[in-house]
Amino acid sequence: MTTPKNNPENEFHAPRELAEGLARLHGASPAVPPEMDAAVLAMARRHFARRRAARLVVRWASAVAAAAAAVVIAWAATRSGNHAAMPAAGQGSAKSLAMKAPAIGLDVDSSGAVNILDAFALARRTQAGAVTKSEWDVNGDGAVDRRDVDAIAMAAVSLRRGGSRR
Amino acid sequence: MKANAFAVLMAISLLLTCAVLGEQQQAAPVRFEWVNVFIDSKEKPLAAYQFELTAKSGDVKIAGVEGGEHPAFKEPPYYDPAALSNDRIIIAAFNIGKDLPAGRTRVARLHVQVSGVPEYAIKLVVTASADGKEIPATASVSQGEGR
Repeated sequence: MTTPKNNPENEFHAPRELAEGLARLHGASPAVPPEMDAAVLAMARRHFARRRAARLVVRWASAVAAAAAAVVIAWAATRSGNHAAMPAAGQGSAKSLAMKAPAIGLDVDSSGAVNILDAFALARRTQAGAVTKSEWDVNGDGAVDRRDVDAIAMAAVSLRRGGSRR
Repeated sequence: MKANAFAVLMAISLLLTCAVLGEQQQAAPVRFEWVNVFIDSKEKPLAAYQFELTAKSGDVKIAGVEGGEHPAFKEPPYYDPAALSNDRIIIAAFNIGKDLPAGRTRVARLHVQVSGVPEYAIKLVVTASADGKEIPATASVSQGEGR
C-alpha cells in the first residue's frame, strides 16, 4: 500500500528557472591562493604548539613539585623520628664528662673516686659509731648519718657527675 | 606519551612517600621488656656493687628499676632518676648485714621501653665484700618480654 509520503508522484519539483537562479546565487566560492592557505595553516599550528608546550610545562612543574614535596615530607618524618632519640642518647655522655673529680667529703675511702664503696664505708662507720670527720656531713645538717650515706650513694650514681668512672 | 611520563613520575613519588612512611611505621612499634642484671662474685659474699648499663643499639628508654632476688638486695638500688627515659643508667647498692649472696645472683631488674633490637653493654664498676674490700666478680644481663 502506498502512502502520500512515499509516493514519488507527491514529491515537490521546483521550476527549472528557479533552480538555475538559486545555483547562480550560491555559485562557486572565491578561489584562495595556496600561499595564503599555507600561511593560515602555519599560524594555527604555531598557536596550538605554544599552548601544548605551556600545558606540558605546567604538568612537569606540578610533577616535580609533588616529588619535591614528597621527598621533603619523608625527610622531615625521618628527621623528627631520629630527633626524639638523639638527646637522650647524647645527654648522658656529654654530661658525664663534667665534674669527674670527686668532691671533698664524698670520697670517704680516699680512693680518688666517688662510688658506692664510699657510701658503704660511711654506712659501716656510722653503724659502728666511728664517724670522726665532720666533712662527711655532706648534706650539712650537722649530723653524719644515713642521709649522708644516701647523699654519697646518689652522687655515685649520678649521670651528671659520671661518678661511676674510675 | 608526555601524559604517561607525568603519571609515572607521580606514581613513583607516591610510592617513595609510602615506602618512607611505611618504614617509619615499621620502626615505630614500641614494646616493654625487662633486663635482668646478674653479678657473679664466685664464693665471696657480695656486700656492695656498682655497675653502669648502656643500651648500645635499639631505641631504649629505661622505665623503672627493681631490686634483686636475694633479701640483701631486694630493695630498689640507688640510681639517678634522670636515667629514667634515658638509655644509660648507673646502679649501685650495698648491704651492711651478714646475710649476703654468693655466686651468681640477680641484683637488679630494669623495665625498659624498646623499639628495634636492643643490645646492652654492662660495665661492672666495683664489687666489694662485707669488709669493704674489692672482690673480683663478673656481670651479665638477660632480657625478655613482659613481666
